[in-house]
Amino acid sequence: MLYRIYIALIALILVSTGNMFGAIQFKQTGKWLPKGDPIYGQAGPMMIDKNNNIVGVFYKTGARLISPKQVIVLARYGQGPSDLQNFCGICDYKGDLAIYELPGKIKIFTLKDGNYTWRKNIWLKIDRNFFVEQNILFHDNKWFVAGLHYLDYNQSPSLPAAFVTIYDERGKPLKTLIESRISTETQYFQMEYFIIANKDKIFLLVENQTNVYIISAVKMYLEKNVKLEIPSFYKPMPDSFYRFKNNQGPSSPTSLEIELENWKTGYSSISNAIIDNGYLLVQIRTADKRYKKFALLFYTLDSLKLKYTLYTDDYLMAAKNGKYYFYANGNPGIDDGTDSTIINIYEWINK
Amino acid sequence: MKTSESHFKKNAEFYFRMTIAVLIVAILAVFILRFLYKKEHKPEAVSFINPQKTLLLSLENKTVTLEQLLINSNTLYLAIFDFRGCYSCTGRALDDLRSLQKEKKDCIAITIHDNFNDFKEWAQMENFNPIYMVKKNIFYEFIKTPYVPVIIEIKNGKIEFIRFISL
Repeated sequence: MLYRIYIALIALILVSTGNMFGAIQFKQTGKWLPKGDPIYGQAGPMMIDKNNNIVGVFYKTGARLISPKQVIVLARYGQGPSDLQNFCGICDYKGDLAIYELPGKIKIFTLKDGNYTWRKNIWLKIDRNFFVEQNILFHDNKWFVAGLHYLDYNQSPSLPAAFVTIYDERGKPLKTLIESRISTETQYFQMEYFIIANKDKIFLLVENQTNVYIISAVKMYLEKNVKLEIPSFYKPMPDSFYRFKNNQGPSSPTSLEIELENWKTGYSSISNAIIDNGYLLVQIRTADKRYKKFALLFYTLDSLKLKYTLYTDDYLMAAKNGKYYFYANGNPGIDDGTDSTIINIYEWINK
Repeated sequence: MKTSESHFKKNAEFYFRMTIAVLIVAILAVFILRFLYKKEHKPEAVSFINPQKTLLLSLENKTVTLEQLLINSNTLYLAIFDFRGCYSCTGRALDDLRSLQKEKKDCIAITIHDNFNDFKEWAQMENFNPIYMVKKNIFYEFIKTPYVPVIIEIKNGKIEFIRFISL
């Protein structure tokens, strides 16, 4: 009996010290200090390109290409072929880069001599309803556009809206999915939507929701809505958030920007979601001074069970082949300490 | 003494009642006028500074002036918008023009844009004719409007009526 207790104790010690004996660790393995154009706006969708550089859009700053040595302008602000305005989503399009420009235009850029040049436009045949879409994904020869798309703007006080609009490759509308009713008093269209491909499935996460909508990419229907396990500190969005407050009048950009900052940091909003290395990684804000700014929630891709919860002050930008790229000290335009562009690279390491 | 006191009281009461009555009539008049006359945008809110110099580009990349378009019809409906702005508003403006075209009215659409190829690709998809592009600098210099989209009714070269389109 005593012998069995000894074995159990040794096993317990081994398990509890697992991190010290051969367990994997999420560790920083690289750091970029690129020079060049400053980044000062809130980060939007991003991706890692063929050359393993970061391509992303930043509110007010524009589209940028970040390499280990420099930050360069991907496209200037304007209406010319290689310019961009009202840009939001970014994704891979058959090896090229697709940037969504509101309303309804996708600009395709090709990598040439270390930077991107415009190749063509794809026009989405958009309807007459008001929409503010935030993200885009090309998968299974279709465009999946995520964001708030009102279906009938004449109804009040709440409007029917869809979170995903699907178009064929040439821009013909195919279907709208995940419908709900949104109050006209809100600015829910300011929220972020994260749309990610996982084989023949499309995952959609919404900034203020703790579930994953799983869409069949081929059949274009909502297969599942999976509730994610959330950590105990999770602070849900208060009801008053994303409602007009009009501190300095409804049309004041200053008041909107202040409110946006408060909204984004005031609750455990999802700041990014990525699939890589067998995990669905969801980064949320802790909104709690006892912790660092963000929590990284690693869910196993097959069962969507929460496996690891880690904390960081860095903002998750994108991931590729097991490397996770972070903007040091938070999201530029929202968090303090982000004046210099520093990219921290993390990996799972077997110790 | 008693008589003059009661006389004073009667006078005071009369003036007080008169004041109240005048106030009531004034308030009623304001309410009635507000209901009778809806707030309308005056046509002066929109103006063409120099139609001879307002250059427009057709889908065939030919330059015409706004003046040429204005003198060609007695009654013309002109929609001015930015197709890269609120698309819901642009769509409504174009739909209204289409309805007017069905009633055999002369209609022209003008969009504010700087890139001709962009304009052409979009216009072909939207399939509305006739449509022209005005460059931003020319729009700001020669067309004065506080808001777009706007539909302008022009009779014999004079702005008769305007309607701004919003969500």
